[in-house]
Amino acid sequence: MFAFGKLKIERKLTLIVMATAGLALALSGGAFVIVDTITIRERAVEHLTTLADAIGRNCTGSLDFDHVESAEDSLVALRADENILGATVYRKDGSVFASYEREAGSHDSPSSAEEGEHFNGGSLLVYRDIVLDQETVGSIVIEWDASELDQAIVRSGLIALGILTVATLAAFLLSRRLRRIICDPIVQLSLVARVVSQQKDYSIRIPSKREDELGLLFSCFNDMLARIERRDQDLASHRDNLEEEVEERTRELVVAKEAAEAASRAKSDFLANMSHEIRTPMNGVIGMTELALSTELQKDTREYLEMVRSSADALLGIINDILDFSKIEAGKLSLEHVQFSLRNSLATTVKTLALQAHEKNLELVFEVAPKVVDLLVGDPVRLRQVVINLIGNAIKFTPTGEVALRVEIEKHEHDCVKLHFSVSDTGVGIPQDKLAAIWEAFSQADTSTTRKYGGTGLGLAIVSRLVSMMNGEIWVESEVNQGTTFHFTASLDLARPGEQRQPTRLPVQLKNLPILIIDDNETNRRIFHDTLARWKMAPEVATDGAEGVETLLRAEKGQKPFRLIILDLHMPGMDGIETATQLFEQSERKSYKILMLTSSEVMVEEERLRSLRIFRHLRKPVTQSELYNAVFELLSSPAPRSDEPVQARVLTSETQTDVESSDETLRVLLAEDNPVNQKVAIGILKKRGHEVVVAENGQIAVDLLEKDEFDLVFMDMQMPVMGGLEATEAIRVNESGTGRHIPIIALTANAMKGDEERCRNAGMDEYVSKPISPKKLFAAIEKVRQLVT
Amino acid sequence: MSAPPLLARRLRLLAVCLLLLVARGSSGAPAVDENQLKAVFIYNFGKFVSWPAKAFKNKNSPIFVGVLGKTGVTATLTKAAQKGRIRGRKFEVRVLKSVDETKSCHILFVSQAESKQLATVKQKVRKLPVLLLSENPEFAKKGGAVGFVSRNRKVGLEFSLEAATQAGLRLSPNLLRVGKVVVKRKK
Repeated sequence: MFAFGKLKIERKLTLIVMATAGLALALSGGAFVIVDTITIRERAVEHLTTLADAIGRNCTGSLDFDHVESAEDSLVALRADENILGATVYRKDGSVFASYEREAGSHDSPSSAEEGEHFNGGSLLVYRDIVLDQETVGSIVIEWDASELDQAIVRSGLIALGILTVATLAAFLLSRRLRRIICDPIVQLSLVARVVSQQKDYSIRIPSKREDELGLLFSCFNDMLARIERRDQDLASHRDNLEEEVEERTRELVVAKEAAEAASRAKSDFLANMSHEIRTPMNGVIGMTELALSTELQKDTREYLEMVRSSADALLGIINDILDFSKIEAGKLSLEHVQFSLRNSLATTVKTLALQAHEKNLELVFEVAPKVVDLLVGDPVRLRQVVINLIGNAIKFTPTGEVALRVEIEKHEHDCVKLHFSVSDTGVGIPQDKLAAIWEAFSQADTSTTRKYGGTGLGLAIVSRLVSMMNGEIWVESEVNQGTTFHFTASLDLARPGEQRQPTRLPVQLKNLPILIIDDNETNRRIFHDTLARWKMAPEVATDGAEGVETLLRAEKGQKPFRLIILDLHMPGMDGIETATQLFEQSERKSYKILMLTSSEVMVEEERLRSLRIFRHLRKPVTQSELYNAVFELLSSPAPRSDEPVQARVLTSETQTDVESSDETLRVLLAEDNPVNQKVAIGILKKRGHEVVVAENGQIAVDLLEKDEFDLVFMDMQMPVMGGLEATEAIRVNESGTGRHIPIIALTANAMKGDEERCRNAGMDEYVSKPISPKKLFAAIEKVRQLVT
Repeated sequence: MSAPPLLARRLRLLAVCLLLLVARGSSGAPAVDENQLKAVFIYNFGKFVSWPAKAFKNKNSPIFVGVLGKTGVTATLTKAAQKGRIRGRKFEVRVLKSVDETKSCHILFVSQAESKQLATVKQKVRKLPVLLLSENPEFAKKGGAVGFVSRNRKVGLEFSLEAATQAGLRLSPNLLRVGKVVVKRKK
């Protein structure tokens, strides 16, 4: 079966037209042939009937008078019609009366029959009765050649076939014409549609001047394309607009952002300024009061001054709260990450509060669970602040009974611990419906509370934020008139095992120790100078950075270079950081350490501060005890040698801020010329807390070893001036006779058997092949240490 | 279609026998045949001759056939007349006793025996619608309408259209076709 559906439209049209025309013509042709046949036959019968009647009438006399000849004469008249094959007249009794044959002897006369027509083979027989005076006197039959009829039928059939052929041909031609009229435009339309859909080019139009339905279709199609094109343009323009809008918004946002940042910066600046402006006079008040109190005074005067100091302390507390809160709100507060002893720190804190508690006849209990690790890393100052706040509150709201601080371990992990602190009292308690409000800034459980107990209402807000900064939580349990318990947790890192040893403190001789004070504020200068002088030290003052540098350089030329410099961060003109930079650049000996005085957080990286030899900073106002602790700790830590050779660059003299210098930290000499390798090695060693001094070549290393003490030497093989092998040989020669043997580890670029042998021959103890890795380095160190012990 | 030839021959034989039966009963065999044929012919004339309307009293009045003279025809004719009607009319046969009775006849057969009276009869029925028949030879040529001619024991007919026209009669062409017109109508 062929698939009509798959044909092209023009084929379909042709087929339909042809089929329609063919069918119509075949039907009409058939009908024509049939009708024609019937007509011809009827006409023949009619003709023969008439003829038979006429002859019959003529034969009535012949029959009546039995006159055969006259009847035969009548029949002969039929000769005129060449299609009549013969005729016979019968008597009444059916016997043949007379007959006629066109061709004599061609056939027998048919027997008589009823009136009517019969087909007999190729001939048509028409029988008629012969009636005379209402009496049938005989009958007549006429035999007609029906081949004539057949011929007529064939002829009309042929005509019909001819018409069919011609008409079908005409239909075919017409369908071709139809194709031009209908199919071609449709094909054109489909081609254009395909081009449009493939190339997405909506600017194409179909040219058409037709006014029929196809023309309508074309114009609709064109309209559709035009609409799509217009929509595309609209979309494009809208998109452009959108982009412009977005750009505009972005610009606006950038402006807004810059404005916001500027505002934020302004706020920060204001905060810093405020902080500085407030703290500096406060320093004066507190410092001067303490100085005054340390002199001999009359009883009244001492009392007044004590009151001045406690008022100043209270004011300082409030100022600190406000500034802290502002800083927290501004996101400027960051926690320190230093090692401290939990028990010591808390004990000191509780001791300071004990006086307050004692005054109210309250018992202050302090209990740290034995399991709690003591050496931790975190921000002891902020932890202390939280504890002070909570205990202070507890004391404030407890008329009788006790206040207890307890510390337990909540969770112990690999390198950190989560501690659970609780501060409970037997005080007035907090009503249940006010519990939530206590954490809000500027609010207390009751406004009347403020009147009765005082306080800014900032304390708990600061505390809760500090706790959350320590990855902890804070919550409260309270019953009115039964007491309140504040709980909080804090995550603190564990100090590394090597660092848990108690620091070995060098004995420090403070007497006549030269100290330089650089501060622009005269009051403060005086306070520091007098305080230090009271401790029998030898302070000198400088009013600004430039003078400080000058003083330092002058001292370095003399016998007594400064070991400590107290430097104010906030100074007009050259500030503390710049001064420290100048000092570092211009000092030749670099034998000093700097104690920085600040009013707010120092926004400088710890690393940079250390590289500028700023090892400690104190926030103003500074109490005498704080100052003493800081000075003592700084001076008792291993100090860099004052007589360090100029060639040796001290990149890092310490890894710890504080005095804790572990037995395991080694003083390492690194003989290496390549800066990249230097950095890598220093980085690795420093991580373990080792002190590294770099020598650029073998010669420098040999010289350094003669002047200075080292625990270990890393020796590169190939260096300018003097290579590793030569240097090692020289070192071993120098050592001979002294009984000393410093471990030397070779750094080789090519780990070949011959290398190892040559290294050992030269007197090296171990070797590490490059590229160096922490694993390799420490394995080598471990090996040589075992060798030594 | 065509009946077997045997049957056809038997039918034909039967027909001849019947005809012989009808003919028997009058005189000698050959003569009898002739008279019987003439009687049938006379009867058939009623069918092929048209009389003027005035020749009949009314539509149903019979056709009178007069026979003048003693002849064998009469018996057969009388028998045939009883057969039925011709064109709705009865066929009545009268044996005429005198020449005077001839006027009321429509067909008048003058036998051989009375052929002497023929001139008189002719005179009597002149201009009257009477078909005059005679066995006299050349009767038609001598002014009669229809003459019987015997030839080889067959009966033939001779017509005078002139005589028929003068009597106001019209002879059917079918009738004329079976005989011979000896006198044509004068113009």
